[in-house]
Amino acid sequence: MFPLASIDVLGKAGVYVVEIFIGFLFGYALEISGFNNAYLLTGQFYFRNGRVIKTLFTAIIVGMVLIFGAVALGILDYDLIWVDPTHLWPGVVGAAIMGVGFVIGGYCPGTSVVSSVTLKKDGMFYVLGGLVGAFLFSETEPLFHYFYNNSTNYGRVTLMDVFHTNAGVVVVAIVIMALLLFWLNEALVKRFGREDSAPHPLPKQWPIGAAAILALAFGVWAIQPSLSQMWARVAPEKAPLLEQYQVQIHPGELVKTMNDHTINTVILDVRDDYSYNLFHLKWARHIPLSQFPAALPSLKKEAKDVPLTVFVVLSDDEGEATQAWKMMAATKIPNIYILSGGMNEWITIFGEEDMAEGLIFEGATSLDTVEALNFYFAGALGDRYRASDLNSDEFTEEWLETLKFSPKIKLQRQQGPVGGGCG
Amino acid sequence: MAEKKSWYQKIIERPQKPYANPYAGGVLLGVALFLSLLLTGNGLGASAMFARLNGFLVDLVAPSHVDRVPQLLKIAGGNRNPLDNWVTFEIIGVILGAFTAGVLRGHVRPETTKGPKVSERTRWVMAFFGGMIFVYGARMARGCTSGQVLSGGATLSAGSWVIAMVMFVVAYVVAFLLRKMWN
Repeated sequence: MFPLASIDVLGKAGVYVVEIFIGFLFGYALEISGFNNAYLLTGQFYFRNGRVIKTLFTAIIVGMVLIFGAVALGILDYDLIWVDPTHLWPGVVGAAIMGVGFVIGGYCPGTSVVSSVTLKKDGMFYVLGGLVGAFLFSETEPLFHYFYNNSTNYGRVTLMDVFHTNAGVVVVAIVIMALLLFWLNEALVKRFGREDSAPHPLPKQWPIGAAAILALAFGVWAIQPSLSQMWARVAPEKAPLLEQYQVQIHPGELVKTMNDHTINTVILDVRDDYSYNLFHLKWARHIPLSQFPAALPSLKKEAKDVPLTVFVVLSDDEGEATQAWKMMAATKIPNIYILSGGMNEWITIFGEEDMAEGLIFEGATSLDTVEALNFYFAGALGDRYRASDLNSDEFTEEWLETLKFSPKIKLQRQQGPVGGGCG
Repeated sequence: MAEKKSWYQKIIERPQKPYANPYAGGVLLGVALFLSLLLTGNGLGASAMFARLNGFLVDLVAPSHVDRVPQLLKIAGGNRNPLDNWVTFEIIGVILGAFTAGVLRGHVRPETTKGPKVSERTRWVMAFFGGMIFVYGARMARGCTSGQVLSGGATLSAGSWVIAMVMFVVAYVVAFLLRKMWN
């Protein structure tokens, strides 16, 4: 499974050898594409050649198709690769400054290194200026420290999150847009282009290249795994946890965890509206099973953004909760548990007073065909039962002790990207 | 010394081959990016090298200053060696790769690339200030064309796509204003 936890596999020296190899390809590709020459680079902005768009966007779509193809096949774990976090306004301001520097300097930082290596004097001056720029940034950053770090820090946000769709759709859309951009770029160069020292008319075989990348993109879309396929991938590791009853927590442990304020306990009630309205726990978040797949990305983000988050799924018994748990396990959300015995066991333990007051009655309601609830209610009181209140003073530590359960929750830190970025 | 000079002469006088088809260069670049993510988990980068080299130099000259600047503290604080980072070795690779390609294709020669209407000296001054401005912006945006536009673009980071669009739009506008410099 990739990415390699390279340091563990290769040792630090091994990782650095790999980096030199990757850098070699990077530098080689930039040089042969003509990016050691500022006149050729800036040719993009005067329609002389359109080289920057051609190379950069080809690299983006080729890289993207390979990455998301590997992710869909289960070869590469998207959660473990570095995806630049979104700091919206610092990004916009920085990008505008870069746009200015690009035209004035004629290079970007990577290409200036390539240019210097091939002995271009302007490239060397650019590198020196770049060092001064890095110095000025670190010295002036305290002046706008808050803006830089906290103003619009959205963390890891992908285009899939923004457009609420899967990676396959985004990959296809971006490839189509890139092909249109290439067409526009070629047309502008043809229309306004002037002499260029490195002309490159579109090769005759261009339709083959365009068709190939488009076919690959649709392929990536076609092989996007379903939730059940994703579950099948993690099942060897996760299914035993269900079978050995290691993730089904006793109601007493839920109360205890709720009262531990160092932990962000999220109760997910996956029953239908009807059952939820009749009776539910205070603070339970209602996501019916049918809507659960759509909620997975935001749950995953919450697990990432709020440290020490524990999810406890519940249903009338354990059936629907287990289905939801499998979906969460398939999407690799950490710290997920099921309320053992569901609402049935909960009311059995905590519902005595409500039953004494005539609000809850024992006896099966046959309305729910998926799982049966062994109780029925005087009305749809929602969370206005005594048994709904997880923080009730009546559930004292001593009383919880009498329930005699063995705690099962073991907090795990979510594994982050193995690599770092440029920030 | 004379022998060394002749080596240098040999390199810079190699017959010049044309640059590659830019789409082909792009395919190679895309494969390099994919391998980088597959093998190391991080994308490609360049501006981080400028920041780390700066951290290294400040740490040499004024180590106590490092502790007062959050950006430097992060990379050079305490016993940290700012150059002990993936980007250093990636850039060593870039240097080797670019030099190899440059020698093979006869592109290694001491010259100044510029627009036809500006003097070499003007070009050098512009290159210096352009580099200064660009890297300042790249630090602000947490990555440059490599780290944000290419790596962030291909991994579908939302912020990187915003950065890519803003950068290109601004560059086109500035290019129009400075058209005398490059045409």
